[in-house]
Amino acid sequence: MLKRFLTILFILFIVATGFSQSAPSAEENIPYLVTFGADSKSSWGDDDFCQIFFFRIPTSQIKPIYLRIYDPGTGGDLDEAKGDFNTGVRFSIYGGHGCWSDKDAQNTSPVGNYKSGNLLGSQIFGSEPKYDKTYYTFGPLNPSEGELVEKLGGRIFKIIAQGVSGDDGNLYRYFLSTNPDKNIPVEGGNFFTYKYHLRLPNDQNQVCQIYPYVDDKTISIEISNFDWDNDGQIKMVSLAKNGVSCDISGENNWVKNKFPIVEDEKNTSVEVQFIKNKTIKVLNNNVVVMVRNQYGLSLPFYVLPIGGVPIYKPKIRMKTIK
Amino acid sequence: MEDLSFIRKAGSILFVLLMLGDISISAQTKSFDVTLAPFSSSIYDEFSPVFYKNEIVFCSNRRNNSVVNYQSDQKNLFNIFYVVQKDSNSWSGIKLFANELTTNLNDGPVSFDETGNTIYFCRNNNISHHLNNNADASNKLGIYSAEFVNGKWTNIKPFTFDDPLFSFVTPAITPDGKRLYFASDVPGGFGGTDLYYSDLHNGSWTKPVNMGPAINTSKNESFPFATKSGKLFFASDGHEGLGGKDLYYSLEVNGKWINPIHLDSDINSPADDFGLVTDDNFRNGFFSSNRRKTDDIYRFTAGLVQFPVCDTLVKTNYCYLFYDEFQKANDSIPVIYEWDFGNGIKKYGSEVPYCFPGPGNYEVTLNIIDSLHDSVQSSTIYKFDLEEISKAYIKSPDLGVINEVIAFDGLKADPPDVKITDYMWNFGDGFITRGPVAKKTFDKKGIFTVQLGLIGDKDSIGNDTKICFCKEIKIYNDFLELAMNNSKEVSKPGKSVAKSPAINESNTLAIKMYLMNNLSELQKSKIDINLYKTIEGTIVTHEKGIDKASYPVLDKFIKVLNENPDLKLEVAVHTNDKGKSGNNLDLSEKWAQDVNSYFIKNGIPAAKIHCKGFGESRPIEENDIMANSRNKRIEFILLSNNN
Repeated sequence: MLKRFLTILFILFIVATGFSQSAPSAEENIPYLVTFGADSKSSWGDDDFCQIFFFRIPTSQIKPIYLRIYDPGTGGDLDEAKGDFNTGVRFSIYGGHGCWSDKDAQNTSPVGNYKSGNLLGSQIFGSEPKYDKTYYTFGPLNPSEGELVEKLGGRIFKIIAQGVSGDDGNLYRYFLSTNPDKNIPVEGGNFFTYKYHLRLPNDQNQVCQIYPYVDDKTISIEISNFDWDNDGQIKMVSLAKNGVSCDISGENNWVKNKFPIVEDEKNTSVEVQFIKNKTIKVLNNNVVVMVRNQYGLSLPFYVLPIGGVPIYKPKIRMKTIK
Repeated sequence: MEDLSFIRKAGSILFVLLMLGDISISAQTKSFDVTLAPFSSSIYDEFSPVFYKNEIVFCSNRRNNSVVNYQSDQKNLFNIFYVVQKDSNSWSGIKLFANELTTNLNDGPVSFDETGNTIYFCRNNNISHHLNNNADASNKLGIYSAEFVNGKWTNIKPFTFDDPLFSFVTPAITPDGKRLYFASDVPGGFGGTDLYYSDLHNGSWTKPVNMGPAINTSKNESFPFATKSGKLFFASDGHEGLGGKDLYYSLEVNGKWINPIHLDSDINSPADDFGLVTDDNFRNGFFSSNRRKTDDIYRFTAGLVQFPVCDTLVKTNYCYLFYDEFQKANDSIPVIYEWDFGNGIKKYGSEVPYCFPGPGNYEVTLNIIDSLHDSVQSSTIYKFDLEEISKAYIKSPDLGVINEVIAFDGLKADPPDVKITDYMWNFGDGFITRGPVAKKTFDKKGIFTVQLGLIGDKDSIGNDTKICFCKEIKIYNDFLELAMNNSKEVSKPGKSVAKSPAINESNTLAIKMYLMNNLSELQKSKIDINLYKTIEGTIVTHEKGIDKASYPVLDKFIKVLNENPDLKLEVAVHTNDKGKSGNNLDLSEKWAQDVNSYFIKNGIPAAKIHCKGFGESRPIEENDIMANSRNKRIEFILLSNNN
């Protein structure tokens, strides 16, 4: 509770100072997104060297928006070098019809027409220090250029980060802003993805979490994780589950667990927790996570969990003792 | 002139129409054998019999030799008569009860206290009227009393609250002579005639009290009769019945009159049934009825009622297991489940049992505590109503001691969909005792089965519904024996007070503390917090009593008793077998008395504390060098005051 309270305070603080609406978000406590160069080994923690995120802009937003990328290049202190930095990563923004609604766009693998929609901007970043620990800004983007998706409550853009060369790991963050030079949140905006490539913190006391959204059609979910190594535990928390353990994947390997969904969990976010190994210190661990429903469809991870952070709510029952 | 017919009119017309119904009802299995009293005539009216010595005294409008009286409808007025039972089958001739209580207007009904020296009776207020004033309705009936002195009824005086404007009729004095029940139509009641009572305090009658809506209706209640055990029989045409006036009884339980119980259909009929008198067990008696057109007196004898099946009661409790339905074995967040029952009691665990004291609205809070961060992860409140469990139930202690009156309450026996018309108790001698409550004294140790038989409304084919259930009660020789067999020792060895030359093992009593099994969870919790966890020291004795070094221990008990009015304490003091037996008993009694005095001196009511010395009579193990100090002990037994 204390942890959550401090987290909420931290969120409020970020909102107040403009450092908000990021991917990863403060709730997730994930330091960076990660994308490796195309020549990397998947055993380093990236199964496909491609990270696809969507961001939603509410229809009420009519002024231009900006997507800012923190440390988009692959060089400097933050990124993971494998020898000398030699990696190029392309960031591309898409909007328009099909950018989300094309079935390949929601696929967890970068195959088929995953680059669907209209390309609104693209930039390849290498090892040049220009953007070390600073921002590159895409935009201005006209909100109307996004794909209107009523069931998601706004216009959808897509940003694909794809390693095009090299073998280093690029660590970065996204920010959604109404200002090209500052992080001013877009009211009602949110990021989501169907497959999360993330860097775990090195601090063994930290706990990270991501929030797949479970709709009312879901009766079971399958949580998959890739290349977890031996970095602690993965647990699922929801309104009705208080830390169900997931199996953890080994090196360069996928593992998955299936869990039933009860009525109380429908139309809520669930929490997948990453709890660092307290006894063995694992550094620079990159992991990939995705969640599918009983039909094999991927569930979206919203960086700002829909309905709020789920807190386990016990269902108290009493039965007669004879 | 007023007579009693004004309170007996209802039901007369229905009588003829329903005679066939009467016959069919009387043909059913009988709880009572009802026969016409031989001294009842088909010509005259006889009603309201009462026991008096070896006589039956009653009212009748038969002719007598001393007065000539008749009403305007050419029927005679009522006077008081009596008969004497010569043997089981024959009665003496009917005689006027007493000339000095006979007027030329209406006399009776009557009632006697158990001494037989005081009579309460009804008569017209103005007895000097001439016959041509018989139709004078303003001459109301009032209640009078007289004393039997030197073979004559003297000192005739009106009841203090008689009012010439209203009727005061059918007096019934309790056997102890301290309460007078009667019927009256004074304004302020519920309608018709209501039942009232007045108590005798310091020789004066208190202001009459209306018996309230449980007894009185908008119609007529009258003809009360009170037994020694507290049952009040009466007649009413306002409660649900078979028609006309029917007979009912009620009794006061916890200060309230229970809803009247309609007497068996062997006694009640569609005609007017009224004026019942019975022995204390409601086994034998007489009542009045106009089921033969004229008022007659009937004799009843309780039949031997059988209940073919008697189910063993499952004790009613309100114990539940609380758990979290979502909590799974594979939930692995390290948390502590804290269940807060809102009364200071907290229990820990994913599943906890808890017993509530009874029905009510409750709230339980489940705090899930993150044990890694020692913070509350979530707090969930669960509110619920516990409703009274509807099942057959005998309310009584499960345990008792010999020669102690034990009360049994069947009012909670509430089988669904059955209207109970009679309660019958079997304490091993058949279903003899009637009524929703009963008292019993057991004179020997053992396990006894008490049965309660319920007779309900007749079913569709006219048979009584019969339900029977039973419970066991364990009787012990004395309370200490009871306590030792039904309690749990919770005492821990008392820490010794600071040693001084005057205090050593030979003059201390080992402390043993017991909690009776039937203490509630809340009581146990309070004792645990305030006594068990804090008690230190020991009881130091000397030849004259308890040393003041013992007071800190006793003070702990005093504090707990003061803070928990629902607890009481039994203290037993024992010695070892050193010394003379008589001396040991004296010593233990002296120490017990000293403890008792200390408690009372410090404000503990005497009813909450009982201390007794047993000398060497009850060793916990064979006396030897090792056991001497263990046998020499003081036992504190905490029990619920509500037992």
